[in-house]
Formats: sequence, structure tokens, C-alpha cells
Amino acid sequence: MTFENLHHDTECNCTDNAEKDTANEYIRKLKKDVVQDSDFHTHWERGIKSEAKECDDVCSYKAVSINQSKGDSERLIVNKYLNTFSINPKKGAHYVKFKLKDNTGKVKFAPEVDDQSHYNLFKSDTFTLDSIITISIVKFA
Amino acid sequence: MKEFNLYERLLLKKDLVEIVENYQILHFDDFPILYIGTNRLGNKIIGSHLEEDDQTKTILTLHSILSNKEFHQFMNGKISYLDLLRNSKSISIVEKDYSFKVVKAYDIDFNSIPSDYLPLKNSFCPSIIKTHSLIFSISLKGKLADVNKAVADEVSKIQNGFTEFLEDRINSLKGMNLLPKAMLQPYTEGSFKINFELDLKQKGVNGNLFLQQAPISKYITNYIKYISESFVEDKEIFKNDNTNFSNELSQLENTLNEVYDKAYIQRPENIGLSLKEDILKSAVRFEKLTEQVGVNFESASINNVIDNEETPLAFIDEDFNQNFQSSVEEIEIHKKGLIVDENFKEYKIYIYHLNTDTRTGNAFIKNSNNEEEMSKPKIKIQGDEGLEKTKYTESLYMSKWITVNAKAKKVGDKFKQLNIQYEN
Repeated sequence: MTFENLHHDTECNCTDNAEKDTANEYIRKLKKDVVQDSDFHTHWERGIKSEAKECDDVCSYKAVSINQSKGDSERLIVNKYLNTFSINPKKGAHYVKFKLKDNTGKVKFAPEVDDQSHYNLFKSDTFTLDSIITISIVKFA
Repeated sequence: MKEFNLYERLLLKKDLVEIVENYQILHFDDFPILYIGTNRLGNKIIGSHLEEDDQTKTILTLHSILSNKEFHQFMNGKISYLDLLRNSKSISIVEKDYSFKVVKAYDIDFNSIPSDYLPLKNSFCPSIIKTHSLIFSISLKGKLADVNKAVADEVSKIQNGFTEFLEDRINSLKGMNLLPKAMLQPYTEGSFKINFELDLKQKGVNGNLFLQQAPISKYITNYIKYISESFVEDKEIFKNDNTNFSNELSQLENTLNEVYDKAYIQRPENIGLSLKEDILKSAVRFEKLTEQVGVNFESASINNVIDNEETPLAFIDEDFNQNFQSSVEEIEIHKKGLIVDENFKEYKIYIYHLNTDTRTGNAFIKNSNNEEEMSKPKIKIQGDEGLEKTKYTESLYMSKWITVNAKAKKVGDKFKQLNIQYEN
């Protein structure tokens, strides 16, 4: 698994301490009720960039934000999605529950104050939508 | 993005709606979904994410200017974002580039926001995991305060009232052996801001090692929130010595329990009832803070301060003032009864407000059993002779104490009303 696309314009090593994880289930909010390519585009790929030069910041912009679904974390993340939905319903009412394949990429635990199950997914060079195993698409609002 | 019809909207000066200071994200989900901050004039701004477009590399957000009252209501879950926008007269669409820099701002009214993008009825401020500190600020707004000035006497009363309020709350924590000292910090603009830090020292040589982990700052900040947000609604609970507790009061009791448990100090017996008694006692102190509002400044906000970031705890304006004072009075009348003089008696008063047409006003009078405390009863001067050049106007204009014959209405030691016999 290579990460040349991820690293071609930065000196940061974003996959340092990141791991392959094909066992756990993850969650990602969707724009619509189907999984589209754009749902897995990173801020960096979209041209949304941080002025900060610290590697943590740079790498988080180069990652796809996902949440590990374990124990109570799914309920908590759905609460977060519901908060977003109440402020701006256009931000989507569905999420996908999925697993990663061998060549999908690497994940790194990146908890936030209000988002303790947050992970950064660093996509490998061969990532496509076929790189994820969709378990279900859930309508939460 | 087309549904916003930006090309036909009035362009605004972007620096009016651009957040340049005090930026704080309230909810983040891939983007800052809801955030607050202040513009270059110091106005509070709330912003929310609408949409982004990868083709034009544009982010659209909604910004609106908030009054201090709206800000306080929203941050404390009293009003939804939808209602804020519905009542707002200053909504704008702010166009940002993909580095989040403001490019343009457009005027929009609530009814023109496409319905798909409107927040829902339950769009209350997301609960933020907050830490607490023992640093507080009281920010005066309106009138003199807006030119960064304040009347020394009023500032002094607020300072004394708030420091006594803080110190009393610590002293009421039985068994903690704490020595509180509320320290004043330099005033800052904003519009006129009084800053306090509550310093806690343990009495005696052998300190309690666990006291550090007791959430005293959380208790004090929740206490201030309770007394400003929930006390008026809970007034019936305080009229009787019953064990009724509202959810808000129970939450405060839980925090107080936590203080004792984490300090490994045994909870006092009947902790809930002691808390109720303490709240009643503190309400009288709090009333003194609210009394200052209205003449030289319009409102006061009490904030908790951490790393220069302020969390609003209480908002006091004239409406709040009236509700709060009448609630305290109602409870006192219920508990202590209303005493009315049958005959005229001599009282020493100092009239500080008098309408010579309606013959009504307010005066200072020392409380009957505690001469160090004063009441500010309403007064009514009987008769129909003119009040010009009488001892009443002399008291008003010359700041003079005078003796009057009056029938008083009292609650406990405090005078509520004086019906004065006209004498010349």
C-alpha cells in the first residue's frame, strides 16, 4: 500500500503511527442517501487548506474524518449529526457504516473534545469507493 | 448556491459582519457549522455554515449580529438558532474562499433564506464541554458604559455586592475550612468591564489534599447560572420549607454533592435544604447587584473567564431586575408576612427620586432591625399642595435626610412602601 498522492506536496509523514484496520466498523456522514465519490474527498483534495503549517493540521486536512462504531460511540456520533442537521438540514440525513479492505488506507485515532471516537482515514493511492465494504446506509433524521 | 440569488442582493461592508476577535466554534462537523465571535466594533456575531461549492471554491455562511440579551439567551439554551434568525434584523450571507477568508457579504432577510437551509425548531446551542474557573467579569453595557465610563458609586456597589456574593457562597460550604478572598483585577473596556478573581486558601496548617479536585468553580458558576436563570421560575419552591426541587435545583444540588464527595468531606445533613436556604440568602445579595441597572447603564453580563474566553452566566437588564425583585419580595411576603402600619409614624428618609406631578418616587430608609442595611421603598406623598420648595424636594435636590410621618408597608426588616402625610 503506497501513499504518494497523500505525501507528494508535503514533508509531513501523515501515516506515521497510522494503522491498517480491517476489523472494526466505521461511520461517515453522507451528502445524500447513497455513497458517492465526493463523500470520501478530503478537504485537501477539494482545495480547502489550512494556513497552519503544523503536521497535525496539514494531515487532518489530508484525511477523511470517520468515526469508529464501538459501544456507545455510534449514539454519540449520531447526536453530533443531529446537531448539525438541526442547524443546517442540507448537510445530510444519512450515514454509511463500513469496513476497510486491505488496500483502503490507514487509520489514526484523532479524538476531539466533543468527538471521542474520531479517526483520520488516510487513503492509499489505489483508493476508490470499491475500497470500502458498505455494511449499511442509515437514515438518522 | 443559486437559490440564494446573490447577484441581486445588496452588498454589505464586509467588516461589519466579519468576525475578527473572540472566535469560538460551537459545533464542528467537517466544517465550523455554528460559531460566534465579535466584529471590529465589538458586536457579537453568530455564524453558521450553509454550503460550499468545489467549482467556485466558495463557502457560504450566514452571519447575524446579536444583542447581548440574545447572545446570553442562546448560549444558555433559552432561544433556538431558528428564533434568533427569525427575530434578527441584521442577517447576512457571507461568502468565503476555501481558506475561510471573507470575500463578500450580502444582505438577506429571514423570509428570503431558502427553507431547505433553515435551522429546525430544536436548533439550540449544542452543549459544549466546559471547564470552569474562579475568574469572573461583569460587563456593563449601554448608556455611559458604551463610552467606557461608569459611575464610581455604582461600580463600587457592584464590586462589593459581587465579592460578598462570591465569598458568602464559599463560606456556606460547611466543613471545607476555606478562606475566600475575592480580588479585583484592573477594569477593562467592554463596554465597561469589572474583573474579579476568587482566591481560595485553606484554613489551618493541615490542608485537605483532595480539595484541589473538588469542583468548586463548577459549583459557583452553576450557582450564578441557577440564580439568574431558574430562581424566578422556581419561586414557588422557595415559599415553603418543603422538599420540592426543580430539575435545575437538583442539578445544582448534585454539583454540591460532587464538591463534598471529591474532597472526601462528609456531606452536611439535609444538604438540599441548606442549599435552598443559602440561595434565598444569596438572592438578597444578588438583588443588590440588579438594583444598579437602568440609570447609567442598560445591562450587566456576568461571565466566567478561562484563557480570556468568556462564558456567559447571567444577563441582567431592567426586565430581569423587575422579575427578580418581585420574586424575592413574593417569597419574603410569603415567609415573613406583610406588616402595615395602622397609624402614621415618624421615619427618617432620604428621597432620591420624586415625580412632583404624580407625587410618587423612591427613598432610602434604614432597615428597622439592621441599621447597616437600607431599603429603597416606593413613596407616595398625600395631598394636593405643590411639592416645590418643601422638605421633600429639599431632600431630593440637597441629598438631605428628613423626618416624615408615614404609614409603612414592611416585609421582615425591609420597607417596601411609605405612604407619607404631607407637611410643610
